[in-house]
Amino acid sequence: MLSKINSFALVGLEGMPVEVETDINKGMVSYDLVGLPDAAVKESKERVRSAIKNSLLKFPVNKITVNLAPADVRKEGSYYDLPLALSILVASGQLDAQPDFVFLGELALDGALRPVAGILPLLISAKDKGFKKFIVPAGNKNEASYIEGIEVYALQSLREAYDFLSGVSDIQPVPARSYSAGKLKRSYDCDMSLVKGQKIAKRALEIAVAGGHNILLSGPPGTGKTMLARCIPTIMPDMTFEEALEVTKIHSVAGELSDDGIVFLRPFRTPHHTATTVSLCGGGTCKIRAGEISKAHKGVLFLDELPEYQRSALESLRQPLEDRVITVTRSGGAVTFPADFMLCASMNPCPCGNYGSSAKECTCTPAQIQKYRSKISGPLLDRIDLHVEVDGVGYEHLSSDAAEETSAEVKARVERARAIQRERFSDCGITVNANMGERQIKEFCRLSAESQNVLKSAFERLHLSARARSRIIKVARTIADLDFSESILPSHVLEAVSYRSADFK
Amino acid sequence: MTYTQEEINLIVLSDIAELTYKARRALLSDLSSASPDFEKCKNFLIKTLSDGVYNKVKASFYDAEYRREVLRLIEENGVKCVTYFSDFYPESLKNTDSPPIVLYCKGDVSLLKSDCFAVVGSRRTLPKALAECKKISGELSEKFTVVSGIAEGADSAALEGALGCGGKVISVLANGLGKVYPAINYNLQQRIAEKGLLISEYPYGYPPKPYYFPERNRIIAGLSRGVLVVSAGIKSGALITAEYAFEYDREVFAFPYSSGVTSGAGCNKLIKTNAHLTENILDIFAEFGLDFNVCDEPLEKAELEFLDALQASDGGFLYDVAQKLGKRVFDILPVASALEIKGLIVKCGGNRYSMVNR
Repeated sequence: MLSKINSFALVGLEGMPVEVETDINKGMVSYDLVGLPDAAVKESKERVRSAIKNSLLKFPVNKITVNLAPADVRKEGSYYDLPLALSILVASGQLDAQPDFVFLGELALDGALRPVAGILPLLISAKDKGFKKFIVPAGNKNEASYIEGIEVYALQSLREAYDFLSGVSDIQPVPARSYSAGKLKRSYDCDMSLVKGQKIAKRALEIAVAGGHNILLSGPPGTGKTMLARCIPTIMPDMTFEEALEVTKIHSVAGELSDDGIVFLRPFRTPHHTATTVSLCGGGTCKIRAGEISKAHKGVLFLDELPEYQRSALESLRQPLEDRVITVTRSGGAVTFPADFMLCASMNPCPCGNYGSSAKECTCTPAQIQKYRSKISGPLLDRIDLHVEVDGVGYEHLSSDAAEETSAEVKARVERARAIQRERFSDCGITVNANMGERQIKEFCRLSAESQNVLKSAFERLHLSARARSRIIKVARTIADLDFSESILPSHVLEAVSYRSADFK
Repeated sequence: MTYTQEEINLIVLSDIAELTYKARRALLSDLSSASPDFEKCKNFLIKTLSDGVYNKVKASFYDAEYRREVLRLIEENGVKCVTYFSDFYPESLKNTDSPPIVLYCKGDVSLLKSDCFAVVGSRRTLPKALAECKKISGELSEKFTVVSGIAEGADSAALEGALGCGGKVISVLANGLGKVYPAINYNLQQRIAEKGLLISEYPYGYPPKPYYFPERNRIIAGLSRGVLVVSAGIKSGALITAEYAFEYDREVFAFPYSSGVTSGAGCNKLIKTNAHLTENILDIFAEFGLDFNVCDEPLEKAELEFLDALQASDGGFLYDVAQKLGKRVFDILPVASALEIKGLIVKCGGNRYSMVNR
């Protein structure tokens, strides 16, 4: 007898329908699995046999052939345990055909269902393809509950699935949950009010987030660069449900989802400086996995000690910083991952680290400092609009009497500035100042004669590089937006000029 | 450039690498004659060199092929040689106890005869001193040709400052022409060759050696009427230049530093002995009986207030200045940038600023 069961395979962040076909025939007793299974899928044969037996069901003693169609796509992961088991049960006449359902899940030897990674993108793809009913492991319940318009049954075991499908027991689908209600309960660990002093760096962070600019913090060790960076997500506008779903998809596939089932807070990723190009951008031989930049999608990618990273790894960030997506191409195919992140980098000002410190004297020569800073290429610096120094004061020296602004207050200002930008760029296809091209800079950043003069003399006297020009104008535009100013005033330009500490001739 | 037979003798002699300065001087009968007397110095040379080398040196000197090759090399690379017996050779150098025999030059040779003033300092110079060095060199260049080495830090700042004001400069190299050390100053060296003068005691293409630097410093001091030491550690090349200047009876000037600043300890030591404490250009010009018109750019009220607050603040931190003015930090950022553009304050890293002496 022949059976067909629906399941899904994951290709990048998209689901692809897979049919699990089983044929049981008379003949020499055998049990074959075909359809390009990888090692984990091949092994599922044994798990399925034990699970069926231990669920007090009958494993047929005949010639069994299982096929995973389409047969030319490599099948990976442990999603197919449950569909395989059910397919055998249907083929051996123990269960009726189940054409409406999509099954996903890994089986334990005792028949229990184990959660699998990537349920959310699979369900979303399956929903788009017209499937309405799903059976998934109970451990994936939370993740599945945020998708509207489908019936998801989260089950504990194969036996439970068998009873449910054969009508013995009645199980209710997972109740839908609302994103906005859950969001209110979550909060970040850090807050702007916890960072004492560092007024300039805080202001720069506010500008960076308001205009979607990337930022480079430089300062002596122990001055709170990392702490400042951790505050960035707290002043970013809350994620919309669509954004949260996008982020959750990536984290779900990576198997890094928390119990919440959805990502409420903007991600903050800190890859170590030994990170390779592949770990940052994504890759893999057969299954292409998302890299850190995609896991930082809609959040912050924080690169601590920027000059210590491999040059090739840093250069690989240039294209995704521009395009906001990354296409990873391997022999197994090409996958496009979203990578719309804000880059925050930190570095010491010089090799000895004490340049600008009030406590210790810097012992580096200009050539050493130049060499250290030139480890970061010009094209990468071009994509970082703000270069900010943090105050060279030890954290313990900062007086803590004054009340500091909370992240919520800063966030309110950021959201106002973002609203202005959305209105301005309503028909340009961009949302923030940082993404302005030359054409938009011409159109929206007209400088008065006075501002022009200020900019010109800044270039002449401070020896700014030519590539700094459009960066300064973009940042000045954001400062004007935070100021609710229609035009860019000389003071806005001057403030923007002060955020260029890493610019050299 | 054409050379007399006497000059060619000096150029060829200077090109023979085996000879030391002392040996060349002895050969030229203590710089009184332009034709080397090998016989008279034979014993001295064999003692310092060796039999074989002495013969080789002597052979080279009279070898017509070798002489042509030496001249061809300097001709091809546009090097002008100013020998001890040349009209261009500066009197100030002749008055020292060890004048170079040949100066290999690139650029405007007439500058050798102009009034020179040396500005030297350490590679590790504080941003504030660097800015002041640049400024004072520009002002000096109105009356003097500014002389310096070409190391990064204070030396390059002095040359940049003078060139920026359209002044004349001489850079004395510790390597032969045709080499750039440090390589980072390639562009600066090109500009000096065009607008000023590059000189070296060493033949074309000689790479720098550690002991060339102190040797070179005697030329910097010898050329100049005065030497300003912008910054110097307790053991520093700039101090060697100052020592030579004292020896040659030239005026020595130095920036004062507060105690505990490593890059200023040498300057303070000089001031304690004989150097003039120098805060601005007037201190130098007064010594030479020159006058200088100070023309200040007009400043706005906010800028003047900022400068006052910066002077009163301890570490020069921007947040401290803001606190003193009772303003938010980012409200005074534009003022700081404007003052920086006007060259009145300078960034010292870590959001600190220093005043530049006016």
